[in-house]
Amino acid sequence: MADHYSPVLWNRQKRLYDVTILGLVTGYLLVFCTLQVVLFPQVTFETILIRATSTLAFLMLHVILIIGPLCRLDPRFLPLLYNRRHLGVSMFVVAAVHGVFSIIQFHTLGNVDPLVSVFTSEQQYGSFSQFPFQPLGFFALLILFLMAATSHDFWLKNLSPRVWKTLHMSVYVAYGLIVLHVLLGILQQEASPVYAGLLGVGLVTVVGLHLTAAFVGNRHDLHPDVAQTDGFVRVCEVSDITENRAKTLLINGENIALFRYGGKLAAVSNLCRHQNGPLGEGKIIDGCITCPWHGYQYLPENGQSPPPFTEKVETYAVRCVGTAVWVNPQPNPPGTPQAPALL
Amino acid sequence: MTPSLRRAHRTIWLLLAVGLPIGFVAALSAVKPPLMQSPIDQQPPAPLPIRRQSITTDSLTVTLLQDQSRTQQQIEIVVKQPAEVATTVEVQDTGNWRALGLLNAPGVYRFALPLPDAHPNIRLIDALHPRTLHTFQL
Repeated sequence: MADHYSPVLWNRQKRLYDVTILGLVTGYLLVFCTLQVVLFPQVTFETILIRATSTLAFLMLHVILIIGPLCRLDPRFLPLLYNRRHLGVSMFVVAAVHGVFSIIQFHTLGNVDPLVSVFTSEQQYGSFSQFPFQPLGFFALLILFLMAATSHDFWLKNLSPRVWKTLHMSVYVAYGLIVLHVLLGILQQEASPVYAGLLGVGLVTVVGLHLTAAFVGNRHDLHPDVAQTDGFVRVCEVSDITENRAKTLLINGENIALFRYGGKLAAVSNLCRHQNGPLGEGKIIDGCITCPWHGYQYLPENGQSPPPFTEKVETYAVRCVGTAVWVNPQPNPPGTPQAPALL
Repeated sequence: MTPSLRRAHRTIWLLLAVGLPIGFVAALSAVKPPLMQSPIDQQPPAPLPIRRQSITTDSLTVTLLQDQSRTQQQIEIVVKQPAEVATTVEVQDTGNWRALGLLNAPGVYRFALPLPDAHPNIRLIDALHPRTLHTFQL
């Protein structure tokens, strides 16, 4: 958790994550470049580098995009989410190498400014198949730069999690632009169906997982009837909630995580203060609600992070009548102590 | 993630699920077979004997040449200064522009005209940045 800013809050998990990224990136580049040198001995070093970094960045983007839905569908993938930002910044660096070398290779030898040349060397903007593909990649790289530059918690805190998350959703626009960059670029020149096939598999995987996670995840949320008794809404049976886990509720627009632990029931906001992560998909560890995304913790009785941390989330009143659980969807201010319901 | 962001995610991916496959199919359908090009003869043919007309500019001279029987014609272009862009020579042939060849370094270039024409229209174009550099009527 963050009680101060530092460039990177290192721990063993992050080091392991980053060493793995570095190892896989290095391994991919070595294998790809060696194969290119052997299979295409006439190709220059610059061309090999452009090819290697383009395929690697595109592959990394696919991995980044499927981590989120995989975690929603199966919590065993959550360790991949923990340091996804470093994976994103690494992907931007690889993509930037591709962009810079492509501009050097294809746009610096003329008498037109290289950046102007990216937009003017092909001008058939009215044709779909001849549409200039390089500006699409340029704008995608610009979006990735914006995301990499704001990936630190400093920006998350100052922009607010909602704005920051919305900004970082522009990765989907970047993905669409890159797919078109590939379709209208290299796939217009390469006759082999293998490349189109690989792109198709990637597209189906990313889109399919996101849609599956969206609709399956939506089914996991409880949407109880809003008929209220004394401000309380009946939401579920006690037996519906696994020990040390939660049910997530959507009542009157309130996103609530209802936890069961040690013979008690407590409800807090389902939105982690860090990145609006789904607290209800986390579990109770050491007596604290633990966010599945980055491990931010809150006490279930008052929604406060344990000292020295200062994050707070809204709490909700809970009643247990027989085996039925009732929740008052009116939020208490963040960090307000709320006695848990005893089973 | 807030419910509104979740809804935004769902909407975006539904749009991408429709748009990207359409783009995928459309882009692959638009792939054209590789362009087959005939090599351009680098050796200019010998000049025809009759010089019918010449036009001179600062950078080049364009001359219409003809044989004695008036059945063959040539365009001779003397490039005096190197062009700043790759230059293609075209002649108007029954309404359509037809490529004759390329101009490169300063020197003499001759191109046979496909059909005898008393006053052929010739133009020099920059095919990479579609624009006309010069037009001549001889």
